[in-house]
Amino acid sequence: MNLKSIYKLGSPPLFYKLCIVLEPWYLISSILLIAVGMYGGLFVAPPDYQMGDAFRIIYFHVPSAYVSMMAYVFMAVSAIIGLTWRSNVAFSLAKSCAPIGASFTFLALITGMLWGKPMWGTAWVWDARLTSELILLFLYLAYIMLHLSIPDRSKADRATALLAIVGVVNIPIIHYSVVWWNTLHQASTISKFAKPSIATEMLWPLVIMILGYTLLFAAFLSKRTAAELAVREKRTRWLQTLIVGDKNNA
Amino acid sequence: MPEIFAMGGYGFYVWGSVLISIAVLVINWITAHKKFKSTINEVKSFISKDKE
Repeated sequence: MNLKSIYKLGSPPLFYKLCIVLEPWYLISSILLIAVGMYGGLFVAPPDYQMGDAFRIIYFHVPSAYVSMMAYVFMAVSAIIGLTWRSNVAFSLAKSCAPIGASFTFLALITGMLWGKPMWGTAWVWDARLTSELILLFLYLAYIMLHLSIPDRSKADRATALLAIVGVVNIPIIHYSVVWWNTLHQASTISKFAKPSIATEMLWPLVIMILGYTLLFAAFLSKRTAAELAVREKRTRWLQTLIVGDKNNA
Repeated sequence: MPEIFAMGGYGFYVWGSVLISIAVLVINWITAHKKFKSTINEVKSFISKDKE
């Protein structure tokens, strides 16, 4: 992808249409992947030799934790692009990431608690991994509330962009917390740099679930970004022509 | 069948995670869809007011 095609993506009409066209594909493929991953994780993968069947929570906990962090990085990068080029598309993407990211963070925390209770004997401890993930949830909520509290949209975009950029420091802290500190939370199961510490028959449903969750995030993001762009561009001729001419959206 | 629900004694935690995950993901999609629909209606009413 060259620089010219990246600039083209900054065009609201093109991006809006892309969101509308791609969203159903993301949604359908993610549902299929999640169905296969769930089947593999819940019924095909063998029980863990120490944790038994409780380990199956990994198929819901790890994908949501992965998306919770990826969504924040996506939000921060969009915020940087928005601030640099004053791009409505980038600000719409950043704003749309926040509620989705918050919901995946909530899921990561809840499924982690449901896993922690039978394995650690407690649903919550103030260890580095759990606390930094909770801070991530607060960062998302702070982003949403800050955006709501500033009536001027361009000022809100800039203020929340700064919050997103400053908060990104929390992402490596979450990721490396299990290495830097002595935590109750276990170390990473899958790493880019090392062989996975999980058997292949347990690994494939996890990889499929992570892919499925990522595509689901893309589907939610496309839908929300299209809505956000529509609000921002409602005075423009391209959107009015598109919406008045599109009876399916009635 | 009962073994599937029991999950080796961890049924509550495993199926609890499954149900909460599905519920949050479905709610996520519904809210995104509703937001899109209401925005399109808002833009439509804006267009009709603009024409008047």
